[in-house]
Amino acid sequence: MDDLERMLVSMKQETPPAGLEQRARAEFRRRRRRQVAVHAATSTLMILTGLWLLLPAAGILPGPWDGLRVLQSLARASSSGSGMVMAISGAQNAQAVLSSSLQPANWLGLVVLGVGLLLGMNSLLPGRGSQI
Amino acid sequence: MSLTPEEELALIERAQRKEEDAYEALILAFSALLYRVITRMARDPQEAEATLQETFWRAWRSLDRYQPTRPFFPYLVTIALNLQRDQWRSERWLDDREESLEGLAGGQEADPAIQAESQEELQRLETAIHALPGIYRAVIALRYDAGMRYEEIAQALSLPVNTVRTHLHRAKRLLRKWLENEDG
Repeated sequence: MDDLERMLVSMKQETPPAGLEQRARAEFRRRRRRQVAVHAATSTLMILTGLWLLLPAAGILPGPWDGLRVLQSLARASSSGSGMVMAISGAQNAQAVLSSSLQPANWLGLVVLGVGLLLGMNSLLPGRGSQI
Repeated sequence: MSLTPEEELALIERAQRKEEDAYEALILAFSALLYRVITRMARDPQEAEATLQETFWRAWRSLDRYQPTRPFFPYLVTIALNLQRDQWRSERWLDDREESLEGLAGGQEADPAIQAESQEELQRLETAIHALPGIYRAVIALRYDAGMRYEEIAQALSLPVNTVRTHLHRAKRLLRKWLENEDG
């Protein structure tokens, strides 16, 4: 080992400034708190905006979307043995109703609401893969 | 604070589940070593500490993509070096500094009485390292401050192992030349 090598190795023994680790941890906590707050605020705002855009659609949707009537229809269909026919025609009807009655603003509201919910879940739920 | 590989793996897995106390333990464990590496490349201690904090934050945000079977320190080093590279780019620090290093060596007064291990000479060596091109400083820091193997350095810098050897050889040649000029 020559002089240069010895000097390079000895430089390793320098000590970092006092309190470095604690400052790094404090900065992480500060940024984490801000991240959580921003996520929560964004999520809340998107959920509210999504609901605001989507709520008028509730008035547009016709009677068959009433949950009780859907259940009654299903019960009648299963007792008459024509469940598959009902399911297919029901799906087609649902598709037609959705595409004809929902305005672009309602679709946008749906998307915004979905993203808001995902963002909110991402902030609240622990675990790998939950990050958007 | 040093961690065994098992402790490190357990902390990383907990941090990936967003357990903040586990990640804070990793910060406490790696801050000092990472700071030493960054100091070699930063202009001043303030910049080094800012880079350190930004490195830990970026590592936290990308922890989902990290493979816990790999050692954590080279992963941190990669992030820190990328940050420092951005800094160099923004300040045009990537230009070759070999001439400035030679100029620096010629401009110093030779003092044969100074011993190789003296603080003053170490200080001069540090000055010379700071005058090296960025990539040479990075290789010196990873090899001597972090004690990383050539393969780990190559992985952290995304370079072939032979290129790492070449950079280290050239960096030491420049420093040696500077020391010889110092000795008269």
